[in-house]
Amino acid sequence: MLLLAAAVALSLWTHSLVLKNFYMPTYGNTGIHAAPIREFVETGVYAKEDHFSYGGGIPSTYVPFYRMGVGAFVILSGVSVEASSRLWVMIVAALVPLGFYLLGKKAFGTEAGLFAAFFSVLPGDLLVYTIRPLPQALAMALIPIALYLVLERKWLASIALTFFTIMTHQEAALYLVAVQFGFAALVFVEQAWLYATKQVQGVEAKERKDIAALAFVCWGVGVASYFGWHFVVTGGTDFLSMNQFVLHEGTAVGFNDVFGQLGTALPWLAAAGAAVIALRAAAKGWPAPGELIAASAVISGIVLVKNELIGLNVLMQRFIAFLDQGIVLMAAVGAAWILLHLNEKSSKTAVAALKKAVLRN
Amino acid sequence: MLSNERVELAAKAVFIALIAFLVYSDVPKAVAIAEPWTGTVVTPKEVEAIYWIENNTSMYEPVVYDIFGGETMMALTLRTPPVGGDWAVAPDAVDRMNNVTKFYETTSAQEAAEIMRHLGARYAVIPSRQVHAGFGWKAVETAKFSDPLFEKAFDNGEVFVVKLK
Repeated sequence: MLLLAAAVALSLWTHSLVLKNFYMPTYGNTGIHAAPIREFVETGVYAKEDHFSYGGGIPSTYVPFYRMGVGAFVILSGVSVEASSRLWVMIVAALVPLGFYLLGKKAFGTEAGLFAAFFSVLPGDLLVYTIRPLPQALAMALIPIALYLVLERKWLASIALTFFTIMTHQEAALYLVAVQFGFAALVFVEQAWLYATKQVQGVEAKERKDIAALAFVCWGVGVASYFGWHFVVTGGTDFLSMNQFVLHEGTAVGFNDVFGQLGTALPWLAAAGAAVIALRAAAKGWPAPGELIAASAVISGIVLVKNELIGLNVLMQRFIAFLDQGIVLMAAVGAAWILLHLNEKSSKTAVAALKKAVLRN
Repeated sequence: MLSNERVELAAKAVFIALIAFLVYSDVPKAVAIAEPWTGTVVTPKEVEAIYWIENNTSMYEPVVYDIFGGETMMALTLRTPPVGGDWAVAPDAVDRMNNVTKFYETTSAQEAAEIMRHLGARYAVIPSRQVHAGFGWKAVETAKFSDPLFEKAFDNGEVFVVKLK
């Protein structure tokens, strides 16, 4: 508990940068959320028309829950829009390590949960996108919790939180449903293999199938919610006609863009985590559900970061922060596995190898 | 000789110490990456000008400003800048970026006035910093605002607001 509190305190400290200036950060178009929040507070109505962007008079396609949430908070608390926006960043700061603790613990045990809580403070891009008063910050804090609820097979709660996350931020929505779909697809492959080879489904395979069914339902609810919102606001479902897609907003992401912001610890530990999952899968036949979520979180992140390869070519660099989420979980798996396997035998082997290396030199 | 438990404990302590050290050294790197994104761009004097705008215009009234100033203005006062915001379904976002960039960059008072008329704006905010209207940071050509087509409606020494006559 003390360690978890320390991880939360560390996250609060890094996010306290949001409080340092006379006004909230403006990079990332923070004003385009503060304006509808103020409009909601002053008029009591959440407008489906955007009165502010590029001269106004256009449909407000941005999903509304962050704006509505902060607006409701302002109305109930009497705190200003600007101060509330910064306060919500500090709430996000606390939620991020807590969410990763829950997810890591469920995926690979308490040690992984604690590692994940600390590791969530390390990626530069994850901090860049959670330190500003943006819907993305809140949605990124909710993603690990939504995935934890799927693993826990909490049907109602996971569907509700998926819906809430989808209606909070579009790119986070895309990443969340991609991870859920990826998980379901990996389990589908297992089920197809079991069927093709006429093997009997064991208890673990049955558990994975049940979780995959929920993940698939969450994916369906998520996709339907977004299209539903887009239809309500614009009268159509053609989201590919938005300027971001038509004009291909975004820049290609290279190896250094991802690894340059991860720090020293995460790449090595994530590689260890990936190796652990692969080796355990080879030994046991199929990874555990938590390991599959970690794999799906990394694979989905990579696909979205390189989305020009699947023909989207949009906002690639913005998905680095989501890939970070998968890497944090994978690194936690790696670190927890190493810690749990540091027994007398492995330690003596390591010391002996070290002595040999020193003597040789 | 150390007991097996002590070897295991020592190994785990060393590993945790290593992780703690790496976390300790990686956190400042993350902060250094994030810190530039927490800037305001707009200055307290600009906020003064924005509140003057609020007191002299009506809700949703178009006021010429760059992206960072415009988004701050919409957030604080519900006035509508020609650029800035969510461009997802804005039909003429790129035209607007071009117009506002020209408005700040041109040396021609006539052209700047024409752009204001085209955008339906009575007022424009002129900060002393560089402006960004969608095509990078540009210096503001301020001499044109001395032309009789404009009058200075507000000036706090750092930021001024011009009114189209």
